[in-house]
Amino acid sequence: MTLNPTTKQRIAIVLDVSKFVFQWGFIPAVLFLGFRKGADPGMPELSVMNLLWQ
Amino acid sequence: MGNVMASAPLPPPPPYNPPPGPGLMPNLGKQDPSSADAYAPAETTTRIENPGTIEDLHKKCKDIFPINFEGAKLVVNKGLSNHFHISHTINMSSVIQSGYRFGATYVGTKQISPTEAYPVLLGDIDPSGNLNANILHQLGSRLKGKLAAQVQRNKFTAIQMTADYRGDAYTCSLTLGNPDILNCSGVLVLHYLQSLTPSLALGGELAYQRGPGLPGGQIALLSAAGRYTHGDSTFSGSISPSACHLCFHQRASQQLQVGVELEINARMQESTATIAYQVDLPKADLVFKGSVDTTWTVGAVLEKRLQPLPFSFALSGVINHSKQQFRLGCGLIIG
Repeated sequence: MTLNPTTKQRIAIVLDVSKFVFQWGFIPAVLFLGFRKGADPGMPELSVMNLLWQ
Repeated sequence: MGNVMASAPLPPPPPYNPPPGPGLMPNLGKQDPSSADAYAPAETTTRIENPGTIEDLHKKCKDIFPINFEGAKLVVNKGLSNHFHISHTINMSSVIQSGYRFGATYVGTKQISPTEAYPVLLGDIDPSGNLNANILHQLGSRLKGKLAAQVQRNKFTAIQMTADYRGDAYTCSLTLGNPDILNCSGVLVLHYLQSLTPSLALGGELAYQRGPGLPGGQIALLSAAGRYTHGDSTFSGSISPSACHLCFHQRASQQLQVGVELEINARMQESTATIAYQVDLPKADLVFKGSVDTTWTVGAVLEKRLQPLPFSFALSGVINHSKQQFRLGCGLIIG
């Protein structure tokens, strides 16, 4: 497969950006999903401080 | 799975079931091996069941091998809800990187079975951005997708994408490893495992690798795999023209499991045999794993739950007599 050097460069930039976003965004995304789900019924609400202690 | 899973305390075997602690790690879609083989013989009927994946072919044997660590380790697991767990790990070691790691696990609400729910997202990261990430999702009733990525020094060192299709008596999986669109390189692995009789499963693996560093630019490897289960014994093996890997697992009693592994690599002119055993003492909340191999390496891991406190204590030791090496590790797992 031969790609035009400019296209290649653009793909490389897109890949680099998406890898960077994945690297630093994955754990925040997991935390976001966890907090969006919230606490179990009958339990006190979750807060960011719950990450450190209960 | 990184530190999060490696440090998670082993679930105790089935007859003894303590109330789950607040920070107990979820099963994450994996079947508990001890409960699976304790009850498997009773369920052996003429019905042919799904054989599982080739990736898990040697799992039963591999699970009783000790996973040794070095240095001191402190793990705090916290379950914030049934769907959300976090962990803090502090590692002090002279072999692997020391420092702090933060882990998070989210288990979705799509319940497949009492122990399995999807999607599962788990990952851990250290302050310099070294990340291990895993995403598992069940797409439909038979197809399962997995994505695993590892970032080290801001480089993606490993990416693996797997799709498993579970038929009634077979499993077919396709794995794509380290794909690079620009250089047209990567590894493609096709697995197929079929249950022929309730005790026998046979399959094969086709691996194709393409990359600039390879002679001729590409390489393909075909290997065969099989597993035979008889009562409490399991034989599993995979053979390719240049390598052979054989495993034998035997449940000797409710407490004791023994495993033997033989690995032969013809290309490297190397072969290693290992014998390992696992002792579960549910009454003492103790799991002990030990192994000896033909390179004179002796390894052992002891894990003890300090009931009624929500603590587990882990002790690991490896000694190699011929190289005169000794590594000791000790860990405390809270939650």
